[in-house]
Amino acid sequence: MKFLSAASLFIILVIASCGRPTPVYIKDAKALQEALINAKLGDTVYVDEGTIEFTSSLSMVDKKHITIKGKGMGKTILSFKGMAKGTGGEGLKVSNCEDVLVCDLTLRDMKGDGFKAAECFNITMRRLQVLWSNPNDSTNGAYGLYPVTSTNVIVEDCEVSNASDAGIYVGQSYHCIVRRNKAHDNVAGIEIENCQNVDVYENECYNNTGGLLAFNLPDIPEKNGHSVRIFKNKLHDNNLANFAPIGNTVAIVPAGTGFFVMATPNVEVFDNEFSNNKTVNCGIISYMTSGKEIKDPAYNPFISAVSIHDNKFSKQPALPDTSRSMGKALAAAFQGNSPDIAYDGFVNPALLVDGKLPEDKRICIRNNGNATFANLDIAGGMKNISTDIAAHDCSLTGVPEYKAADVKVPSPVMNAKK
Amino acid sequence: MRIVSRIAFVFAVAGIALAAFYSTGCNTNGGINVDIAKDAFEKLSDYNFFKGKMADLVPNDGLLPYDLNSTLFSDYAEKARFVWVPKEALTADGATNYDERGLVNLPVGAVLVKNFYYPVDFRDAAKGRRIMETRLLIHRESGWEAETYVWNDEQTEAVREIAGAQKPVSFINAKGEKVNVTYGVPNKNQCLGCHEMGGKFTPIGPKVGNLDRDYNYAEAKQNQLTKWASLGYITGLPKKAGTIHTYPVWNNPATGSLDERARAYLDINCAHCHNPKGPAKNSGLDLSFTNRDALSYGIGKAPIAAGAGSGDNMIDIAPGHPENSILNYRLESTNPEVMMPELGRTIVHTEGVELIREWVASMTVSQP
Repeated sequence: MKFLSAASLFIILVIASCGRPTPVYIKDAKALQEALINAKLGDTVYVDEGTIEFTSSLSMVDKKHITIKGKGMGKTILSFKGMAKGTGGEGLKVSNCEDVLVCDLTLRDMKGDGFKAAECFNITMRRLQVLWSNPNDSTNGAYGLYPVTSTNVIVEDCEVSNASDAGIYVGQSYHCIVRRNKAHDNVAGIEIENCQNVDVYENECYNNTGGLLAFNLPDIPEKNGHSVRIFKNKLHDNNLANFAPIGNTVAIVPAGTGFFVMATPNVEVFDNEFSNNKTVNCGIISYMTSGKEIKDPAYNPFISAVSIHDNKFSKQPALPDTSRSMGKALAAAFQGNSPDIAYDGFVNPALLVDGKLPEDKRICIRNNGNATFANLDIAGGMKNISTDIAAHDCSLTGVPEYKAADVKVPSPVMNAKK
Repeated sequence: MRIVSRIAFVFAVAGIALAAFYSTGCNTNGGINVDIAKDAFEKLSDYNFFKGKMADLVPNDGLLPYDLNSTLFSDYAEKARFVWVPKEALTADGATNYDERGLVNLPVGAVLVKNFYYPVDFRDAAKGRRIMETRLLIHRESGWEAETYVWNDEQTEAVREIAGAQKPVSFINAKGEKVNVTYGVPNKNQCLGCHEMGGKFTPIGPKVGNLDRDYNYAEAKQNQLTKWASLGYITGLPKKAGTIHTYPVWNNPATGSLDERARAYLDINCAHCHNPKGPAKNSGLDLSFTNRDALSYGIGKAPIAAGAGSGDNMIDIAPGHPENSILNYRLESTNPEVMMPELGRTIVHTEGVELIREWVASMTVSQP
């Protein structure tokens, strides 16, 4: 009978422990790394309030349906100031995972990138603060939030500052939403690079070198980015001197850039507010204008199919940043009165039909209040600079229907657990 | 009461089974103790890989030692490598079991055993050595899995570690200088940082081209490929000599041209990430020994996400100009934001850096 009572006590204990467990909040670096290694399908890893010092990169690999949750930005702080050599550059790295949510944390002073997510499917970054202590420091890490080669990406309600490249950088990814974030004091606030089907909305980008960039670049596996919507963003006062190391693509961006779209087709820009970006509020350029050589035969460097409509523009007279070629060109032509919207004038000859661009390949600029415009004719050596905005009075028709917002919901396994 | 008697019965049966197991001596000096269906052991000694004093690393029967022509730099740590393939895991179909890059696809049940150690004095092996860790790659039904065991100071046991560690160590190098290193034991995820390929955990070292060399086995000296083929570890080797692209020894000019040696060095140090399916595929850089495309090899290639790693240089490899090449800049750095490889080294590999400098300096325009 003693045996029996022991057995029944054991059963009671097992049943009791099956109830909703009180979360165990992790307080130290080693325990957190172990928790991310041992995490099982559906687990939530809780991180306690306070500062946790890391001596190496924190990582999670090959996991499904995991949440990593702190007690809030500025409350749960992961500090990477003391990272040892040879332990990886990133603060947090999540790779080859599915259905991962990371939220309510601050990551600071990484040697390299803040939070890199590579090869993930359904990855959400929510209420994350990423920063480096020193402003304007080219030795700060390149990217704050860095989802790359992933599908179904959400970056929302985050704040990123002092990155030496882009605060939020979404690269070579598919179906992405970037919304309600604040990016400031970075070289680029937000950069969408070689991605397909992206919505970028309700973000505020200020005091960066460039507020928001949508770029297609050569020499990488996915160089066919397209279909990006930029709407309801506030892009203002992005006049910070460029502190990116030379050689990086963002090093070409002049201080005072609100938005640049480069070589990316099917881009719609609407309902945004652009103000006081001293070089140009909105630039539309081909890769040739970057001044970089093109060696990749599979890359299309030309800009086409862009629609800029229903935005608000305002700008105080100010000299463009002449330390970069685009700023130099604008200053030469317009001195302190550079236009709100500038187009470099490149046209892809392969797209012309009877000497004209088809309806779905044009650069359309319409209904932007009193926005000023210039075609800089960089293609023609700036000989025929034109401010004739009427030449671009069109709306894009015939572009393939855009589908960024249909980000897939978490898998049924996750829903069943809720 | 029925429950109680059943429990008693189960215990009795288990007891008899255990007694029988121990009486046959299976777990003493008899043989290697690996069961891929079970969780990893907490102690290295439980696998029974080595006989006698464990730190002597004398392999038990069936554990085969091997070497590679060119090896990954790990802060000058030396490596003693072994492979274990249980006989029942071998298939006899004879089909080629290595891929286009030469990587041998060892069967489920196989284990790779790699011991990292520092000689006390690189000029005199007789002064002994300090074993840091033993890494196992275990081929389970679900795929390869990494485990690492950190050796104690007494060198009598190594204990499983999943979260990584940093261990200070010092040694006298080949020039007679004292070197202090904070040796890094990777955490389980960092293992994947190098060993992932197309989303799967994959071994790196045992490629036919890199295994193609002689080894002084206890019985006799023999080419490793011949040995592995005779044991059935490698199948489908070409009959004709010279059809395997043998890796040179990166620091032995007698084994290959400067170009071949540089590429072998970059393959084993970089290509586990920088290949079209590896963790750094987003960079578009492919440093595989077999890649002969100049642009994707980095020659004249612009960086994408290098950050401070560019060191204010515009391209990865500038022919003739190592001082303007991002590749050289990153190999020569120990800044975590800049350095490559980003894991597994904390100091500069002076000799490797010299090789790659000499190679880039020797290049003319766009060498394919």
